[in-house]
Amino acid sequence: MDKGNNEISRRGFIKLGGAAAATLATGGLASSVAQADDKKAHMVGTGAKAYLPKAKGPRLVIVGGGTSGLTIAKYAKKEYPKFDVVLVEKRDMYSSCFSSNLWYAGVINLEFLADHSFLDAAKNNNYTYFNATCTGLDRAARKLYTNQGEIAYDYLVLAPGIGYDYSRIGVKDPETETALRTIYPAGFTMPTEHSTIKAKVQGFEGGVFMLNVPGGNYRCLPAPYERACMIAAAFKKNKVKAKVLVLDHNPDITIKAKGFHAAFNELYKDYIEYKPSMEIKSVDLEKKTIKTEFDTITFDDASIYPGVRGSKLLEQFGIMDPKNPQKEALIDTLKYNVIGDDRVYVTGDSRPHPYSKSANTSNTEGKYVAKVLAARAQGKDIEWYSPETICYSLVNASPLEGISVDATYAYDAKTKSFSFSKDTKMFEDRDASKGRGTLSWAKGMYRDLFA
Amino acid sequence: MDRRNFIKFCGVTTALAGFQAGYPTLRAAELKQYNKVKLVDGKGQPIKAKNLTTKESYVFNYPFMSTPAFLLNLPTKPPGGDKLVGKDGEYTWEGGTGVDGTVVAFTAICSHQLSYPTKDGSPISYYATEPSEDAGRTGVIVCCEHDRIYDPAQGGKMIATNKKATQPMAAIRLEYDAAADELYATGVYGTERFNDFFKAYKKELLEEYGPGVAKQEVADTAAVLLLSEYSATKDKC
Repeated sequence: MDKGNNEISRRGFIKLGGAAAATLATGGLASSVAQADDKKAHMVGTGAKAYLPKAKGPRLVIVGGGTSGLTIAKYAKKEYPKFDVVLVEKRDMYSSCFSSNLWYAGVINLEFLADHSFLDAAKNNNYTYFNATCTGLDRAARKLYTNQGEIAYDYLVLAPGIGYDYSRIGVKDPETETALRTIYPAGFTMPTEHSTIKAKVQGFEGGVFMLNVPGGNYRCLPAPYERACMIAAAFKKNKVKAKVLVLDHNPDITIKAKGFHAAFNELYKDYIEYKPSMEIKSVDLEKKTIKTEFDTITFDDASIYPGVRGSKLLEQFGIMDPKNPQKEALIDTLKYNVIGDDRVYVTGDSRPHPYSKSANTSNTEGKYVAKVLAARAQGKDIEWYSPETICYSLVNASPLEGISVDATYAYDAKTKSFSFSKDTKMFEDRDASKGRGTLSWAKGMYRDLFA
Repeated sequence: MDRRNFIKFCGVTTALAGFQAGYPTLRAAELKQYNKVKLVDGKGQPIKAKNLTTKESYVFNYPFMSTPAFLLNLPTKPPGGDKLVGKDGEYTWEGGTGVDGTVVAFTAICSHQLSYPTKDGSPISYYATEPSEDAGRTGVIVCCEHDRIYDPAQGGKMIATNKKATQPMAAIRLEYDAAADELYATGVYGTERFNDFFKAYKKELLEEYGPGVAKQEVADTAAVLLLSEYSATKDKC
């Protein structure tokens, strides 16, 4: 038989030559052609129930398998075993945002961040992992819509994380925003951003690598400074003639300032240039420049961190606080339920609190919210207590040295506002203990979320 | 009643007879009895309580092959009788033992998030002579990973005021043979989290101990090492 034509192998694989393919297209696929004529809108997942086991108790649906969602799924079930917990997560592979800076310097590998299974977390903690993307919410009917069908809930927790707000760095057209997301990703949400940045850092051949620190309550206050250290460590190790230029919107380093300044000056004097009070007003992709009020700065490569906002999901579901400059959730800040709806909760980095948007905050907050949900499902209530922000930053990759902060928050009932509690402590003298602590903290977090 | 004989103490019971006099009254405390093991040194010789230094901490694996515990000789005798609240309710810490009543033992697995000393390093340790930066003093057990501070002279109670949801360190029950000046471990009371520990470190324990070993109970003797011998590095905080 002529190999150029249709040859059926033993695997049933059909190799088609041009002529045979043409024949099939006009004859064999006639039914498909007929279907393609049906041009009415076809939506995925609507009108059908999600194919899930029948709820065995009050159904608690959690949207988002990040630190907050994973914590609540596990601990709500522990607190109140009658809960039938379903974790709706759009990703089919986990990878943590926390600790990802360490990858850029080669301190950890991708396995460290990503070798954690949603399936194991669900199995180990008696809940269901449902791999779906949510598409809508009907709070009157208590139904969550997903691309895999509808899920009726008794309680719903939305933990969708942050979104980026590029308008805050003067970018107001989708062309520039899409180009920035693609070419100079911020690296504070999707794992694919981390991969891009890792490749940029390791392949950087010299010049100015620009990082920026946004204003407002951005995700993980110390992370941009830690990232500067890790990228500088990589350049130092690779013996690249390069500079990490850190443009800070804020008048000084926002947290652990003493520790980071010491690292910048003592470890990376020739590699890091830190410029405070530099608010990005616009970006010119062609020229590779950014403009601040007074300066135009040229870069060779960059990771650009725009403003941070609550996930767009909140806006789409009508539970965003329109008065909140970061478009975060409109919730009771002590109990986390949407105002006027004690069945829907918003947690994690979409919360409107001034808490540091860090993994440890979400983890400890999640344990508290799990208690709130368990109490309410039993017609009770519990008293508020503060989450805890324990945050390690690695400042030296060789030898490993870190700094840390341990913060809790105080609530002022009169002004209904939060501030750092008096017990907050900074540990800013870098050392090996805190270097090891940076890694063991992360391992502990993975254990808490997945084991 | 499980196979390890869960013994509930109500008042001073006969189970206490023969132990060193001076223990405060135990009320509704729950002791989980494990194998009675003699504490020995690295060469298998019984350790003498009077020879224990107050300058460093010791570690021995108890009640399981993979679960480390601290053995401490405190500089002064703790009063004992502390009323502590564990996961299963209130219990009373018995205080120290040994000739001066200064020897105490606690599990070395942090009751917060289960950090523990491994052969590579320990995030949790006792600050005998050098003050902990975190606690601002000596005489404390501090787990650096999440800054949890425990006071061994108060039954392993967590002493930070701003932390939530952490139980005291579970206490190891020691029995003292005054004539021979030798020590035995006989059980654990307070909130122990061994099952959580086995679950959390399944991979690591399998790697370190091989299949089926980690959950085996220690029998007959337990080797007591200085923490500096047990773990290659010690975190300070």
